[in-house]
Amino acid sequence: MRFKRFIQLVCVLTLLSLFSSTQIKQTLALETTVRDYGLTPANPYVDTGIDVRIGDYLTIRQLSDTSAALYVEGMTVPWIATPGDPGCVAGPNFTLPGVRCWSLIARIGSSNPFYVGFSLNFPVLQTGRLYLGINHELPFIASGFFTVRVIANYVPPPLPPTPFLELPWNHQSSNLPFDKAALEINSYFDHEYPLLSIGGIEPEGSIGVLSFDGLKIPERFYSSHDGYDWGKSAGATIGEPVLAAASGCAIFKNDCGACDNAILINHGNYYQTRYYHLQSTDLVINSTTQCVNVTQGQMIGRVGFSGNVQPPGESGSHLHFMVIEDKDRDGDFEDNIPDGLTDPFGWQSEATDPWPNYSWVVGEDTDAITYYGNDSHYLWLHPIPDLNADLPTNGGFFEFQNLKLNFPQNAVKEKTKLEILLAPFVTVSETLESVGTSFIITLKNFFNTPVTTLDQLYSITFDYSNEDLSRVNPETLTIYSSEDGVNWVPEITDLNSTTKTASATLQHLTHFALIGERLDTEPPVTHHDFSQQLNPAEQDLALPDNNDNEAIFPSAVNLTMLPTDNFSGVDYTLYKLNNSDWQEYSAPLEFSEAGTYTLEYYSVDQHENIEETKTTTFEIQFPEIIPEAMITVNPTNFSIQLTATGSGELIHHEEQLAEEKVSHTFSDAFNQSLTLLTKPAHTWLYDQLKVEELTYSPTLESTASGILTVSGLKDKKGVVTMLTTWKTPDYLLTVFFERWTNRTYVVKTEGKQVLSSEKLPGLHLLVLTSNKGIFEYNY
Amino acid sequence: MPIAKRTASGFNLPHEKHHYKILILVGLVGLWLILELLGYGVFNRASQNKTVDPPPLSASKTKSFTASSVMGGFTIEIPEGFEVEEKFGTVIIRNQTKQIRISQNSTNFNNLNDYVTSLEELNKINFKEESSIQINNLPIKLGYIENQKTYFILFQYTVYSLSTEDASQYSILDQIAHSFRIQNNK
Repeated sequence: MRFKRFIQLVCVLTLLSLFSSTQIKQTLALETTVRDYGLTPANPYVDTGIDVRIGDYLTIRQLSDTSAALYVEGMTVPWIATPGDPGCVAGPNFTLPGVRCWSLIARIGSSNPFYVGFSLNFPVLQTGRLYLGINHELPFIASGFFTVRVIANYVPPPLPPTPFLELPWNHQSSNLPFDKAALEINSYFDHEYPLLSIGGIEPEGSIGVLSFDGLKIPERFYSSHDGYDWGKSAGATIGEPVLAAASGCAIFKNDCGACDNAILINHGNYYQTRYYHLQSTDLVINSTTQCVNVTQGQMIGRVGFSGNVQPPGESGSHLHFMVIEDKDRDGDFEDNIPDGLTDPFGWQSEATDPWPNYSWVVGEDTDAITYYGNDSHYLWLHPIPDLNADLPTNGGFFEFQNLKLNFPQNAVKEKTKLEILLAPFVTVSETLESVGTSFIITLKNFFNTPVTTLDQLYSITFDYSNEDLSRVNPETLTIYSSEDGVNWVPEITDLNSTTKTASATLQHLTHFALIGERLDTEPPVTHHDFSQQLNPAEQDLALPDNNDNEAIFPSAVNLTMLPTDNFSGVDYTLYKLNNSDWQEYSAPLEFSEAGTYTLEYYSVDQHENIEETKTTTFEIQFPEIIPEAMITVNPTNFSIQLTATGSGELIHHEEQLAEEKVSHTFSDAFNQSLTLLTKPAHTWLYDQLKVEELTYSPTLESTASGILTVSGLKDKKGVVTMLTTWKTPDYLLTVFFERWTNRTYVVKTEGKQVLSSEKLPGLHLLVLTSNKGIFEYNY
Repeated sequence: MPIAKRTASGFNLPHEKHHYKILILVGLVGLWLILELLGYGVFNRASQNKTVDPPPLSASKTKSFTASSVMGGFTIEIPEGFEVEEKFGTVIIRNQTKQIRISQNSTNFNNLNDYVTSLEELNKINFKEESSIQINNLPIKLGYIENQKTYFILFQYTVYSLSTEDASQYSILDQIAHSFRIQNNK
């Protein structure tokens, strides 16, 4: 009986313990919850039904790129996904003021603060029901939707890899710091998509490069590239030693025609780096089967141009560098090309990196395998500008370019992300401007909520020892801050002229600049001067004053700009003529056409002081009478004479040209001219003048041309016969005199057709005159 | 020399047979046209280009932006109302939704003709309405990649591309490109 009761007791206790342990397991069970929610304007706030606990790990992210299409009237971007509208700050009527409008927000419990952001991955610090929402204003008038995935589990995602790479050449020998050398990139890793190694064809519309900064730039080199190229600009010139980016085991490879001489290094952390286009000499190893241990910074080869380089040959020498992850952890990197390719600059954009989600299928039917691209993480040991850095509660010291920030312990309540952005050179007023670039400093907590005021004072220091101070008074240097980039406020600044630093102790974070008083605030002054293109003969004309506005000139003129500046010197002068485009002035302007001209101009000095625009109006009116040619024949010796008529005395300039041609130019005092291109011929039988072309200045259309020929017989009594012909492309004019009948016969023909015919008593001589581009004749 | 023949009514003038001369002239003109057409696109990129006047620049109020040493420390003048951000070797000039971009790309090419040819080939793009100009003695290519107006500026093995897809910003882009200055202390 006792034994029976004992057994019953044991069973009950066992059952009780089982029940208890089951209850405990139910309470602490490893539970992975994956749920999707649709947020819409009609349903912008959802109770997820998920109860999270301290110690849980929570992931909240947009389901996919095609699951977000939320649009609100007045958005500054076409569609909103999880981060919200970057051009809109939520006002007081929004669910969560002060952050982006229409961003995803989350809350644990019904009274705790909201968290805002995107791609949230965080350990849960409180227990409660998870709520999701859209940060919106009432009434919420919008269209579309976006879908969010929530994953709650005990297993956090794997940590990103620890940075371990140096640049694979000695950039310091070219006086290039890391951040500058790293970004002197010839060709980028294309996140959409790095398929060059397999000759993959990118989808329609994928032109240019999607680089690590999230920018899709069609003119960036080059589409499908699967690594980074560095060349001359970065100091990776021909013969430059190539260095191991990290320690590992190096092996030689040359079975890729485009790559040619290559070294591959397995770093033992599931990453391999590759170095292509090397010279065939000074390779650390020539074996394709046996690797050799190398240390970080050890020379492994030299920059060359083996394989496929652009431009071809020596001038195309560069280093191609790529990083592959052994995703399947089988020790073989070849089977992870291209799916293991990764960008050592990481992915530095709020948008989704398309490469990890890109998929393709290899094989068919049961042999088909779907491959995906790879995540990218920042792997360099040194930062480039604008990378996020963590600021924990125990403070930290940050140095970026010439800026130093020193945060004491408890400056922040929780771990935050510090971001320092380069910002434009600042002009505070006409007398105050910044020295060097300015900086925008932001802090965000783990949920991307901005932290603008700290709990403790921190120090900010500008080192201006390497800055150009030629434009400002160094004794006036002061740190200024601005909330909007427009209105600037001076901070109490400690200026140390020995260390060349300016420091301030502050409690807020915003846009900062080091400002000084400008030495040069005066713009340049530009005058103009006219000079007329007159022939020296014309001196009696009353000429207008050169610098009169609304002057009228009877000739072509040259206009010279005369800018002066009292301090920094003139940088450039611009002018605009008659509402045409603005152009840079480099030489005197010539005006040779009649008309009215309105000229606007101004100059800018070396310190960007801009002159007020000036305007001058003037007119060129040429005399109406222009030089015209007159060609006559001389019955005394049956010769041809060429003269001209015009306004006043004409200057005749004759020039012998090739092919026995002669140019005759007749110019008046107002630089108007007529040029005849002729070909004379003189024989014992006849005299001839071929007029090939008439050219007027100012330009006048002319089609005049022809051949004048004269011949004849004479005796002591005078002319016996005289024959003159004027042949043009349109007609032939013949003037024939014979003394026997004492008549002159004038016949005009066109081909076989007689156009006109006359008989005139006595000797009539042919006279040709030009008239605005055509020849007229008389006799 | 024409010879007149006397008749009862006067003089018959000789027939001038111009036809063969006109045919030769027409033939020569036609041959020239054919040669010009064949020559177009056959010679190198330089023969297709022409020098055009610099782009327009207005005298509206501007502010200066100086890039960091990472981008070579170039300066540009930006019209009022625009904000500038430099990040990771790219400058974005923004006014609400309007945007102009300046990016840099190092290169081993020492001329823009070969650079653009290679870019077209590798990125499978067409750089159309291309022209060559100079601003402040810097060689520049101007053209369009689809509707993106783009200036390429070459300076010491770095190509700066200034571009915008927004047609309403083309003239602002011209203004900014024209103000581009860079010194040898890069």
